[in-house]
Amino acid sequence: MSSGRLGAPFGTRIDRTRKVGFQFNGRDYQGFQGDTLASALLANDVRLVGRSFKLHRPRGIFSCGVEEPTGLVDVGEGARRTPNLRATLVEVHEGLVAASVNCWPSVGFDVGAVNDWLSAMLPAGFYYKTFMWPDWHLFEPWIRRAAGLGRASGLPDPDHYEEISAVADVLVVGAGLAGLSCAVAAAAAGASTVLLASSATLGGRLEWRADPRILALVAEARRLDVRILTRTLAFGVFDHNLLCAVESLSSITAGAQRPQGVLRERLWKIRARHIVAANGAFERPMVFPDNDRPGVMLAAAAEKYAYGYGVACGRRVVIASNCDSAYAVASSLRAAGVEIAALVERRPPSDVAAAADGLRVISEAAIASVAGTRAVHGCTVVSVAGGTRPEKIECDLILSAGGYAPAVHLHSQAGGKLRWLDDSAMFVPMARRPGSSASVLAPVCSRRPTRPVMRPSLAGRSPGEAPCRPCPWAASVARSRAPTCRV
Amino acid sequence: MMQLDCPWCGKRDENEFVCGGTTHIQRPPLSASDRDWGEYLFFRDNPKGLHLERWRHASGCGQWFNLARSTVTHDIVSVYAMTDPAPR
Repeated sequence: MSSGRLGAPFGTRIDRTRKVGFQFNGRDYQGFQGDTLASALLANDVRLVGRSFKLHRPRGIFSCGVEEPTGLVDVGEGARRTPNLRATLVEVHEGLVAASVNCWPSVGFDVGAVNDWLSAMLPAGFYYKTFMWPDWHLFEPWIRRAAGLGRASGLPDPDHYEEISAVADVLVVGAGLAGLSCAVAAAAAGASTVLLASSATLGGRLEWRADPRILALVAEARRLDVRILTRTLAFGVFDHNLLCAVESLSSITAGAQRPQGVLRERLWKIRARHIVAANGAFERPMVFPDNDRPGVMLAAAAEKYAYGYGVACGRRVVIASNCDSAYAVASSLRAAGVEIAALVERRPPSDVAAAADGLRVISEAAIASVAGTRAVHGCTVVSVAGGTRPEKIECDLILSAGGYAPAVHLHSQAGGKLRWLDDSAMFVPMARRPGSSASVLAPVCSRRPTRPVMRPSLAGRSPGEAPCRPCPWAASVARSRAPTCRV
Repeated sequence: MMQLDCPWCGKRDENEFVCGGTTHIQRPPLSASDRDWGEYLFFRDNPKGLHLERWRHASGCGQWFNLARSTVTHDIVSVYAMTDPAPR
């Protein structure tokens, strides 16, 4: 048993009445409307997705969103072949063709995997130092061929791309509970508001939970004429509050018979009086040997695949954790019919606030090794405190819950500094000095949905239950017409 | 990209403008020493912080104006006419 589709109540994002056929590595598969390539592959028990850059290590799907580090695929054919797309962001559509990266002759049997066996002899910079004589350029072509990821088409791009400039009073990045609340508050105060959502749907982490608050906020945002851009990923904040974002249109216009010269992506350059970074947090992985094997995933991702896409990423799960969020994931996966073999808890029992609830918790322990190369089939758990013998546990999925780290990239890019919160074990944005040219504001509530780690008194709440205050400053920001450039 | 406030046209993106370098540089008298002439021609301050500079709205009204800008944060502290004295 391995990954596969769950029964009907699971999968709030997918439409089971609309089947979608796609191809991966030359084989035909079926998914549903609303699936991403990652969820559709997992639903078809395809866990080995690609090979790594240098050592050709087997790689699978690790996350469920923009943070995907390993599930890279080449999508499209001919001139439309686009390399290295994250399978978690590619929406499945009829006739989609995708292929693994960096493997020959196939992803299952890859000649380049010999590099992994020789890895001890291939330290960083090995080539440049070893292949100097007689001439580096003799060796360079085949070294370049052996490494690297996807392949570009090499043909002229048949599609079009456009650029749009826009202005806004308040620009909110992220359409989760925090972002939606901000956008609604700003728009209600009369500010022209733009809301960017990187995914096709609004709601962020609560989206697949079909949270009534999200539905109400979305309706309110539409009523207040908030300009909502979906599938739009903010990638940079520049001088004087210029934010650039790329809107992906290909998934809307995609299809096997796509006409020549459609609009594929749109670059937005938005000059905003205030930018609100409400783009949530990323789950941190736990560190153990071979934690890049297909079948090792982020805990929250497995939960989202189960409830949002109706996909069980595994049937027997070991969770490696150092924080209370793992317990909520464990119980919700169990509710989806997934067996939790063990929860490997790094902390002593006294530090754990969440209820074990019949789970088998191995306290003060860590994963020492992972069994299985192309897919996980077990792991060895050792006690950190010592004293007990290592235990082998059979499993087909290892989930990793190392707490959350707020996505502070936009804030940092705008010159903002971070500060460390000891009680939540995370870096959070520091307030910016007033009047600075780039004002990226992180709303208080953007930090709220991230579950505090290693703090018993606050821990164990799921993001859905986390208290979320409407941003107190959003309305005042919108009212104050103080220009960011003072003249 | 910075946004500059042209005194005639209002806020425009930086790429409509041409920077004319440091402003308020006094031409020395003809009797100045070679050293002073050299300083005048070739040497400029490169401050970390407030910098007074000339800009021209090249793709707009074509007018010159002065600007006080922080080289650290790109805050524009003041925009003033070419004939105005340096702000203090």
